[in-house]
Formats: sequence, C-alpha cells, structure tokens
Amino acid sequence: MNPLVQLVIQELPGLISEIRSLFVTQNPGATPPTDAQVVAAYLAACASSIAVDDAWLASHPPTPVPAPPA
Amino acid sequence: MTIRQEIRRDLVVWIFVVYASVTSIGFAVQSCSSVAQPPPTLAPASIDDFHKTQAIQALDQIRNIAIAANATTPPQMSTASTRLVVSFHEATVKTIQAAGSGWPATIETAVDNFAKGLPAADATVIAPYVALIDALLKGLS
Repeated sequence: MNPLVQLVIQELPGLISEIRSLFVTQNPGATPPTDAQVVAAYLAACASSIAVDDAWLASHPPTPVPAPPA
Repeated sequence: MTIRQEIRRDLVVWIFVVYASVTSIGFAVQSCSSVAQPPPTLAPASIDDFHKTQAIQALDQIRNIAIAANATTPPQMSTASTRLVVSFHEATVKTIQAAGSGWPATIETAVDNFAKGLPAADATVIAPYVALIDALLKGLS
C-alpha cells in the first residue's frame, strides 16, 4: 500500500479532531442551539409578537360610529 | 521535525482548507434559500418550533411595516387597514401556536387571501413582505 495512504488511514481520527478544533476556533459562534433554546426562542417570539399587537390595538381603538339622529 | 510530522502537518492544513471551502460553499448556498435549515441535532418537535419561529418573524415584518407606514406623515397606510393587518397578524400567530402539522399551507392561503382583501394602495405597501412569507411557507410545506 502507498505509504501516504497508510499514513492517512492511521492518522485520520487525529486529523479529523484537529480539523474540528481548528474550525471551532475559526467559528466560535457556530455551536448549534439546543432543543431547550429553540423552544425558548419560539415561546419568546410568540409572546413578544402578540404583545406588540395588543399594545398597538390598545393605542388605536376603532373610531365609534356616530349614532343616527333620532 | 521528521518527514512524517511534516507530511502530517501538511495534510492537516490541506484537509482544513478543503473542509473550510466546502463549508463556506454550503453556507453560501444555504443563505440563498429563504428557509434556514434547522440544526440536525434537534428533536422533531423542536424542528417544528424552529420553523414556526421563522414564520412568526416573517409575519412580524408585515405587521411592523404596516405600523411604520401608518405612522408616517401623511400616513402611507390607513389606520383602518393597519388595524386589519395587526388583528390578522395576532390571529395568525395564535393559529400557528395552536396548529398541528400542515400549518404552513393554511397560513400561506390565509395570508394571500388577506392581502387580496386590502385596498390596493395598502396592499402594495406590504406586497414584498407577503411575497417573502409566501416563499418561506412554500419552503416549509
């Protein structure tokens, strides 16, 4: 077998972990969110979204229609 | 440094270059799509919440642009239409919260029908954002 191929096979696990650590160093914010974080973000999005709606609707009540003259 | 160590070092560098290139191309392709892909580590229920969050954020944009257009002088959107948009937005978010599977198609139809029911001038203001959420929901359907 080609010695280079042999070396790659032997060293592959170590190489992969080194590459991963290099990538994490280059992309410190690339950690995927957990289930709990995703659910929390969803609940926060729902709550804040509806709160803005309620606040706007409360500050802009529908104009009352004047009653017809008797 | 032995020859073996030099070869090993070169291999690490080259594999990292290839890995980084492939990852960059992947991120570039992904960013062209309007639907962000959920992390593969998430449970199915969390993936649904991930998609629902995206849809709610897109709906927020429609609501926010309507409120901003109503706040200009003179208003670019009537208060009556803005009230319709805000009320529709609230009802849609509550529908998404209560919905099971198949919610993207339901919301897509509702948004399209709602936009068609607005006065033409007001519908023009939110049209780009309606197109955005259409594209997003089609990607989720």
